[in-house]
Amino acid sequence: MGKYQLGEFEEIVMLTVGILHGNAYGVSIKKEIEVRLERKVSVGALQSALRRLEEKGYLLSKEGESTNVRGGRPKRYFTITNTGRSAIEYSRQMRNELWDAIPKVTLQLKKAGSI
Amino acid sequence: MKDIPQPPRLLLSFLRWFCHPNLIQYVEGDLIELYDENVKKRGLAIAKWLLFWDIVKLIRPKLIRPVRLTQMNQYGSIKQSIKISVRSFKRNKVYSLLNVGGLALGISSCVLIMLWVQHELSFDSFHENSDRIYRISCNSGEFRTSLSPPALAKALPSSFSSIESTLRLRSYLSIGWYEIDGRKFKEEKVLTADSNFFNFFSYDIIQGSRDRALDAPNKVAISRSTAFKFFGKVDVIGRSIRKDDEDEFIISAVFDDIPSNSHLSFDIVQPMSFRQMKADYVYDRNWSEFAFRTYVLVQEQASLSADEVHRMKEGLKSLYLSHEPGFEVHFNIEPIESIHLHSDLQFDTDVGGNILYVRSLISVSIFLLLIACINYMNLSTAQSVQRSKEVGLRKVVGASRTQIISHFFIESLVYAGISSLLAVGIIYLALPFFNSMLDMGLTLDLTELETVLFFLAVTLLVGFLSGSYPAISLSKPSPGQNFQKSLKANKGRFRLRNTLVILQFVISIFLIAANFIVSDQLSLLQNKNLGFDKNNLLYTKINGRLENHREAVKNGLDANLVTSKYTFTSDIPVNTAQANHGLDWEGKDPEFQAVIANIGVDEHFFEVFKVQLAAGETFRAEEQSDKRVYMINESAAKIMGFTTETAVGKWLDLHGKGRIVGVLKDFHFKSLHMAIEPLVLIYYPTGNYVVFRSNQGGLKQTLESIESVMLDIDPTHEFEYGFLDQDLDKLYKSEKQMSTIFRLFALLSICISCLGIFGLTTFMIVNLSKEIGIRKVLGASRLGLARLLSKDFVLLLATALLLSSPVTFVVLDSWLQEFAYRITISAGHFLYALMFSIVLIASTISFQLYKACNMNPVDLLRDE
Repeated sequence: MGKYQLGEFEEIVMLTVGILHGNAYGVSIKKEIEVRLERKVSVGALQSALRRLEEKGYLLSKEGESTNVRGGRPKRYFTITNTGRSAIEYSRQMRNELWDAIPKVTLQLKKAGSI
Repeated sequence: MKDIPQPPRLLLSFLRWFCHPNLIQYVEGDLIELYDENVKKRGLAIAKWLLFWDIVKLIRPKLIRPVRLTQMNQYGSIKQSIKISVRSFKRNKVYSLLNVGGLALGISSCVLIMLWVQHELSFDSFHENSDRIYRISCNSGEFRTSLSPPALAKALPSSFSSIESTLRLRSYLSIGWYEIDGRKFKEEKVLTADSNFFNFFSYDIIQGSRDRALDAPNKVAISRSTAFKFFGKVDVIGRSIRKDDEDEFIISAVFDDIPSNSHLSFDIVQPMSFRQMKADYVYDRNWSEFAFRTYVLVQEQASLSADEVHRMKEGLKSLYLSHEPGFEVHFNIEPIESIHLHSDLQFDTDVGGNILYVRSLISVSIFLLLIACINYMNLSTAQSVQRSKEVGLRKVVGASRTQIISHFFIESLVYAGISSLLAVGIIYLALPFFNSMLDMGLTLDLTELETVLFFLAVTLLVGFLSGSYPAISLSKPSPGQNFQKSLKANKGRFRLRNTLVILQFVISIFLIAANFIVSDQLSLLQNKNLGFDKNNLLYTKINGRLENHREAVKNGLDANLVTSKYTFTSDIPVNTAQANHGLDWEGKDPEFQAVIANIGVDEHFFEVFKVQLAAGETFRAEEQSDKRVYMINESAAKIMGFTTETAVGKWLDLHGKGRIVGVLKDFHFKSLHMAIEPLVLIYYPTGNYVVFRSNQGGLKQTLESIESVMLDIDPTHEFEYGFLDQDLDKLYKSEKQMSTIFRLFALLSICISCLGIFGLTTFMIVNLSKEIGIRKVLGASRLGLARLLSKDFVLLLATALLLSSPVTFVVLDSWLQEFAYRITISAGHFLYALMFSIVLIASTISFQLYKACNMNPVDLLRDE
């Protein structure tokens, strides 16, 4: 992964931001991940991942409208930048290449072994 | 959404404090959204916890506020701060001296007290195995003592696997006459101990062998100073000394003088095997003589848990019952380190330590420091009018609030530092005085790391504590406010200052009132009617050759009119050392067990001591010595189930059956800490003590006459004597010490508070100068003005009195519970304290008030 630095959790966050498409802010991302992947996400972990991604230039954020629901605090919406897109695409491509490189026998053996 | 409770504000402000400012809005928004949802779904309590955890998990390097390290090298600003501090110190000499003086007094008294506390807490901790050494004590009913029978120690290791070894001491100190090269010395601190004494305890041996110091009956160990006294040097191993004209001892070891923080104190140690040779029973098999002290060393691994202790106590009880059926004794084990402060037993080796005193003095020292810090705070805010321009200018030039706060902290640290140095001086000057007052040998050793660290800690603490309030309050206003002509003391600051002053008063009134109560209690102890006349009683001991010439002594004393009023007794009532449990009397319930003190007296006892007879008659001279007769006191009659009248004529068996001929009114033969205990008097005309009643003012003459009578009979006799009232006073030594310390520090606390009040009045007058001026112009009288200005203090004082009275009452009442005879705390004590403080405070502020009221209004109102 020489070209793009992307951790596992970061990748999930990126993808989720993509799924939410324009409605991605802290709570919605957290819930989406929790529902889809059935794992707990703490606000702290999510926020620091978001911040890292923003620093890397993969995500872009802008301030949303403030509502009464959140005690008057505005939301911060995230969208994927072009670089970000390239990064997740690259990561996907790398994975596919790796998958393709595994000899078929190994996978079959694995399957047989697990039964 | 109205019905959803707000998230806890404390948590959110915590979040705001650490969270990165760029993120905070959004993060907070997210958290609040989640919180609201959780409240609906899972309830308030869980939602709060989840919020709390979410916030805690947010503490990550990416998310926290960046740490600002604008200027890595603070040297310049610190140097400048120190310079400014020194300048302002010089500019306001009076304030500065008040400040430093108060702080120095506070710090030095705190350190002095801590020296004492450290000494008290260090008792017996110097033994190598001090955490594994325990002493066995016992009690039968209310009679609790650290004595145990001699066979116990020998039976312990085989009965309890956790006990590694044991050590016995024979009772405690005895007196011996030692002869070295024809010179005789009287030694009062002779200890008799098992041969493993120096292995068991870690007293320093400077000459001779630790293991073999006491392994033969004719060996003896002496202290360094005793060696110097006997021989003029310490290199004395192998020299022989003669004891009491009959026994030869070889010196086998010289030990260092016993430190003052040991619960045992002695100059000479002789082996138990020596005493065994003289005893009429075999120590190792005797279970009835409670005349020994037993110490045990428990195994290294065996930590004595509460369970273990309980098991051991039960084991000791049944072990004793198996050897001595019929007499139930409860045993207890106490760690050696706690003997001094926590043990409260009769016939103990160490009296006077009391954890209550240690605790109360620690609080007093904290109070004193607090008072001094409050002073500093009050005085420095009092200067705020002058200082605010300086602060304003700093701000204009670009100082941040943090820098101003740190400036004030540096300033207070400079003050604290100067005060600490001054305190060291004060302590060095005060220590000899303090020591002589307390009869102790405390030293301040500045080469010791702990002492220096303690000083540093106190300095830092004082610096930060006293700097905190000025730093925060003076750095607050905006530069504009700083330059305004008169800085109105804002309400909040005023309230806080008043609170601080009230706190000072509360502490001071507490200390003064406590002082009054303590000294009242002490004078009660000293002046209480003891049931006998303690004045003009002196005693001497018959020993040596005189014992065989008792008749000659009597004739000699009778021949002289001044010495004709005397009595022979077996003990001095103050230290009745005899107590016996093998007592039987007519109609005694066989189940009933009591340990009753006894004393042997002759027929003159009643006349000499002036004790009152309640019923029956006193001993008569014609009494046959082979027929036993007894007298008892009222308390004894009561526990024996008699009334004063019915007791007369009943039989009693102590050392043989005999009749009770009379009942005495109760008199105090022990310390007033204890209620009057039962006492049995035996007719015993050959006691070793002679107690004389001299005429009023004739003590000296009586003493000389007695001496000449004794010396006539035995010219080699060393005449020893004592005064009963002095001995009685000694029983309250620790109380007297405490009251001395207390008085000293109470006075100090008042002085420090007064320094503060002085500063505050000055501040107040400066602040109110315009008002005073206008009032004067409008015709206010001086008296009216004075009343106006002092009103606040009176109010504060009244509040303080209200607050401190209950605290004082509770604390002092618990102290008084220690005494069987005690005063009741009355409103008078508090009134005295109030009056005392009013007088002091009035004299402190009156000068300032007088000056203010007499000022020319023009000076007060002129504005340039």
